[in-house]
Amino acid sequence: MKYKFIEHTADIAVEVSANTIEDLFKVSCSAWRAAVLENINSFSIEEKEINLDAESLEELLVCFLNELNFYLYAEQWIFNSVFSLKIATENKFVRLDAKVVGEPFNKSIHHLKEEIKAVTYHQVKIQNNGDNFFTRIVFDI
Amino acid sequence: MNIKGIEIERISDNLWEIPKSGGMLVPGRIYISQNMLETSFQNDEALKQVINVAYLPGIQKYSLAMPDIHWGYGFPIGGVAATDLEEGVISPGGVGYDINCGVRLVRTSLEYEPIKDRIQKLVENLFRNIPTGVGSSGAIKKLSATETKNILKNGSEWAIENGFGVQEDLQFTEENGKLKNADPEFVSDRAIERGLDQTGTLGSGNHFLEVDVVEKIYDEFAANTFGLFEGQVVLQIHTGSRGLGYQICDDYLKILVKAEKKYGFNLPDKQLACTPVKSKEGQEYLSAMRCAANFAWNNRQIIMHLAKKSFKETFNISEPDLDFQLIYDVCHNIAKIEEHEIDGTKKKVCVHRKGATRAFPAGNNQIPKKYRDVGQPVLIPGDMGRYSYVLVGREKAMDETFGSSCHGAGRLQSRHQAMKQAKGRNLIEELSKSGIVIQAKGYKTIAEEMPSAYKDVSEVVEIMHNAGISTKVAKLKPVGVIKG
Repeated sequence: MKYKFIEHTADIAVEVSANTIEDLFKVSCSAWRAAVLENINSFSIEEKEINLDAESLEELLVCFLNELNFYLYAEQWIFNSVFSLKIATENKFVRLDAKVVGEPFNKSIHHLKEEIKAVTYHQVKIQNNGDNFFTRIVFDI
Repeated sequence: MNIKGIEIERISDNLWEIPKSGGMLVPGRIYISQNMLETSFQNDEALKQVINVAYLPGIQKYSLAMPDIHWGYGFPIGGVAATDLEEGVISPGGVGYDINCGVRLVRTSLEYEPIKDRIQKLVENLFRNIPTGVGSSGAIKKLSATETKNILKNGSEWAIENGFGVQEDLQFTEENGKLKNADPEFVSDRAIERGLDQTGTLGSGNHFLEVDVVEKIYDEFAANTFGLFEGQVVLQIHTGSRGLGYQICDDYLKILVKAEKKYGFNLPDKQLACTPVKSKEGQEYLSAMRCAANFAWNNRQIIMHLAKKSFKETFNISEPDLDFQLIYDVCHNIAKIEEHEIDGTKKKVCVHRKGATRAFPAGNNQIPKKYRDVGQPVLIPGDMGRYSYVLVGREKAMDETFGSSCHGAGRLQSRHQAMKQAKGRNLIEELSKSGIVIQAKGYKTIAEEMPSAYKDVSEVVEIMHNAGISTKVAKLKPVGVIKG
């Protein structure tokens, strides 16, 4: 699973790919984290549970990343890694149940690179060519 | 002419039209020069977005774009669209995440030449007094949710009531710094939480505070009326509704994506999610958007007050002698209910301005009495190395663009490209050689926001001037810049 930042005139765009849909979500979180934060080694143990429903995988992904964004800018809590993540289909909805690990934001060790206003729906289209899931995501800064 | 498969026809030197086709309800019209048309869209899908906006139910006359057009979300940046109030829709993408991102211009009595050696000190004081940068929190104590809701209802009035300015400031702010019918009940707890600590903060990215000198006057009468003279020190403040506004946009995009299905719309872009203006969802979004707009005006009002304090500290000058006065405050990401003439009939419409500025002409009763013989100031910030402009709204804007004009320069380079170009250079020294003092939270911001990362705003302004939409009053040169 991997992510790659690509050129975008005004904002930050990233292409993410992974072998499973769950891994695609996980690597998208890593991409978001890399966009907002200078990389540091972290041994955080605080856990948050995130449970979301959406009408599409794209909407689910955008909502999930916007949760991380909200935790950072409103609650000063920085996401570090995904502990567990499950995606399931229920009736016409897709559901995400995740546990993420992080820590309170500490400006003496966490250096923020950008303020992401929101994760947009722009160009988010999850494609699957059989053994690889792929999408582009644009972060509005 | 064909640009990336899109047929576009010349109407005049400064105006081009994309004819109606497919699902477009109206043609697209872009104010732009041929040169900009040929060079701006290699990696930019903004023309396609002009076409997409033309699909909006109830759209009137044209899907418009100003010469600072570039790729946005749903709407292009520089996009203007008016929709019928009864039959038409409202779209958060036509406002943007940074609701009421805008600019205010303040004049002083100071002349640059005698005080230029103290600009460094002024910039340091401004940087110390005004919270700037990613995650910055307020110069005033963290407010309660109740107090924040007060700001959402009352806008700049809150700032005045709490000692951050004078009553007179309100009349020189678009909408007197407060959109009525702003109900915080339609703002989520999340949005309020995001805004609690951000009152009076500048933010980061392309937000800035800039000390300028009036370099050239083009229109003596308008300049006199606005209180501008050559050599004068003025101040620009560019910021918006911060995290509160971003969250409101995100909240309502989710709601309106679902509402779109309910109303049977089928739009080519998810970020154009919309709902009838008169629907429950539409009215709730409008109300929440007004709250964010009020938060932004209050923000700029407080920052202006903190800037005045910085000027007084630097120059050890009394308030009457400093004569620190608001010229005007404009928003450039907003949707408003306005009356415009369409096919000979006055009609109420919902005007979306996404990276576009209101530009009302002389005689309009929405602008301050003091300016009614001249027209509304239109504030157009450029990049931090070159210049900004003050324009004035003209009658042609009412005829052609629902009283709208451009808003700025628009980016030319990605942040990554700008960072690459900045390698090995000392940008602070380069700016200093041009007579500009800069202070920023990080060098990275300076690199990302370097002058060459932006288009030349004078090209954008010339097109609006030559098209008669908004004409030049003054050119401002930066001498001190604060970035987040």
